[in-house]
Amino acid sequence: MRSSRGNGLQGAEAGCTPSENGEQGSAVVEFIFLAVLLMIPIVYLILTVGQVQAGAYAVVGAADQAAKVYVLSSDTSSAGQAAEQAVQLAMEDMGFDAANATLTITCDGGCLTAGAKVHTRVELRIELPVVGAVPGVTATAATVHATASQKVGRFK
Amino acid sequence: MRQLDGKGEDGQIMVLMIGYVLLALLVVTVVAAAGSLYLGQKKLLSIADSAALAAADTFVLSGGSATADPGTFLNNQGVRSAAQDYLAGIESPTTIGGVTLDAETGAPDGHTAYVVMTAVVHPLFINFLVPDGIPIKVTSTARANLEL
Repeated sequence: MRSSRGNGLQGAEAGCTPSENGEQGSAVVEFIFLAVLLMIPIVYLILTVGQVQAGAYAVVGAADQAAKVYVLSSDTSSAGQAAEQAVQLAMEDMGFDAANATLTITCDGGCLTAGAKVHTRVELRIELPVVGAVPGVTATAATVHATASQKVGRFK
Repeated sequence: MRQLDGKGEDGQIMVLMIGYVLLALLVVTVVAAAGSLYLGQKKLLSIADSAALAAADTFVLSGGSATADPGTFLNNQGVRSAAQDYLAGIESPTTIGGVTLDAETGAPDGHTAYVVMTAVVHPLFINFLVPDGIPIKVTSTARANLEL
């Protein structure tokens, strides 16, 4: 400090200003570099985790509702249709494409026979947040599934 | 001096960023764990709902008499065994463990199936903090109604 002051006012000004600029510049460059290196993956991770979690919520609700509406219908074709519709609704509620979800229904004994158990299983393929939106690209982040069972009542 | 200052600033930005990233990762972990807890509760409630519906279907029909209206009657034993039977017939979900029927299950008023279930959720990522898991309890009621 003393030696730079000894160089004179002009010298101190000239020596100080560029160095401050230099520091600021390097901080910004480093910040941007680190932001690209660390923050973008973090944001992508958060988006992906959020998407997977939303998918997990969607399949649990879808399987539950599908089983519940299935046992309420009077014949198997309309029951299957109602279950598919329930799954579609649950997927669209959570912002997923219903085409990525598959519903499997299995019954112990005849479906819609009193006392029989109906098992539903919903599987959803979750796409990666940004890459999946590009047409023609299928990038799967995860596949989540959920099951539910419902007993067919004695009377309807 | 200047050189040192410059390095100090460099280091601080780095530390700041790494600290921020760690904090963000921590928040993601906690949110995911809370989400898995909610998911476990949702699954258990779905099971209890179905068990209560199955239990409500074990009613005995009463045609009514001079002093009583016709109705559906449930008893503790029937509700319990129907819920237990339902529980035995389903594949146990992967994220929750130890699904058991609580002793409170029954038909307290003779008309309503009251199903209480307990289970243990092992939350994602932070399971090592709670090795025994987090116990959850859900209650579901169902009733069979007579309709014309």
